[in-house]
Amino acid sequence: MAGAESASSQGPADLSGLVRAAGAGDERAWRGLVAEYGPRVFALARSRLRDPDAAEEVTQSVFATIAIKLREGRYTEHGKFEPWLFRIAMNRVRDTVRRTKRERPDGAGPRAEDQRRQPAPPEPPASVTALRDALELLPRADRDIIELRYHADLSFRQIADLLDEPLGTLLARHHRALRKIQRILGVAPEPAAAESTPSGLGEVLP
Amino acid sequence: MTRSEANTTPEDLRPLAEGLAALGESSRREGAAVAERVAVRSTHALRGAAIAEPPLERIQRLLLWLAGPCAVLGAGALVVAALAPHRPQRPSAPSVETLAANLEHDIDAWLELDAAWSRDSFENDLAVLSLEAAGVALRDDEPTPLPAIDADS
Repeated sequence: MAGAESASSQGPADLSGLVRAAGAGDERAWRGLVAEYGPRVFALARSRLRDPDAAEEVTQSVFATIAIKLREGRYTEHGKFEPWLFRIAMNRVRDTVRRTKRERPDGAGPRAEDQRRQPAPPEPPASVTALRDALELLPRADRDIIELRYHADLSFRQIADLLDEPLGTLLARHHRALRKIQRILGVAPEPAAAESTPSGLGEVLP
Repeated sequence: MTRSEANTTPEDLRPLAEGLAALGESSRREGAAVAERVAVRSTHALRGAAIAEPPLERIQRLLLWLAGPCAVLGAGALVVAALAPHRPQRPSAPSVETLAANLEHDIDAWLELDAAWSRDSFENDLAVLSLEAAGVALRDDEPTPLPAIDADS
């Protein structure tokens, strides 16, 4: 996992310089920002929406918003660029989920006409599908933490800032969320024996 | 998984955490190509040019933008309609109950008047009232000298 590493690979001074330069219209700095955070925003949206096209649309929309706000000098949370960016991304993903539910109340995946237009993507391994299905069954608050941690690649400190929660509470919730996934996957031991290593997890997980 | 995370994650949860991390990593790899496309397209926004939005999306945004004020206006109209005094649509004939009540009221008034006549004081009161009314009327008129009384007549 690259959580802390990739976040720290862009040092605070580098990052704020990059953000300032991008806001001043420096295209190279902007491309650097998108290259760093684009894949992470995409992964977050991809996990929640389960549709690569919709995830790309969300990513595009998030960065368009960021670009406009930077250009107009409306980025005011200096030193907290990542929580700011991912808050926008989370809101955009939620809006898209709501809109998709309104359009397709059955909660089906990608639109049928879209699927007809393009060749079917290769089937993901069963373990990946099982994990994605398990995430679907989590309560939204738990799912937010898991996706921000493992898909958006944020550190626990950044997630705590983003969700406005104490770090200790967040760590406890993360732990509980993992337990829930374990139970959903059917590899969790009984609560009394939770500390023992479960058997069969390796068959489900990559 | 980072060393600090390995320390905080119980051993039985580590395979799951590693599985989730691998899933996220694979999505981010998929997102690298997306990020390149997004960088090219969003540079226009950075320069200030409007991003071409699909017309349908623009219409949806417009409708969403209009929906709020329309909802507020509609709610206001409903409140005004609910609070406005209700006027009858057309004059309605008095009901039998109303007529009977009015009649009873009139009969009571007449009976009271009839009973009042049987009292002496009522007649006296009426006489006093008449005299007072006459006095008031006389005061309002221009004073005229009283005719001299002929002592012989």
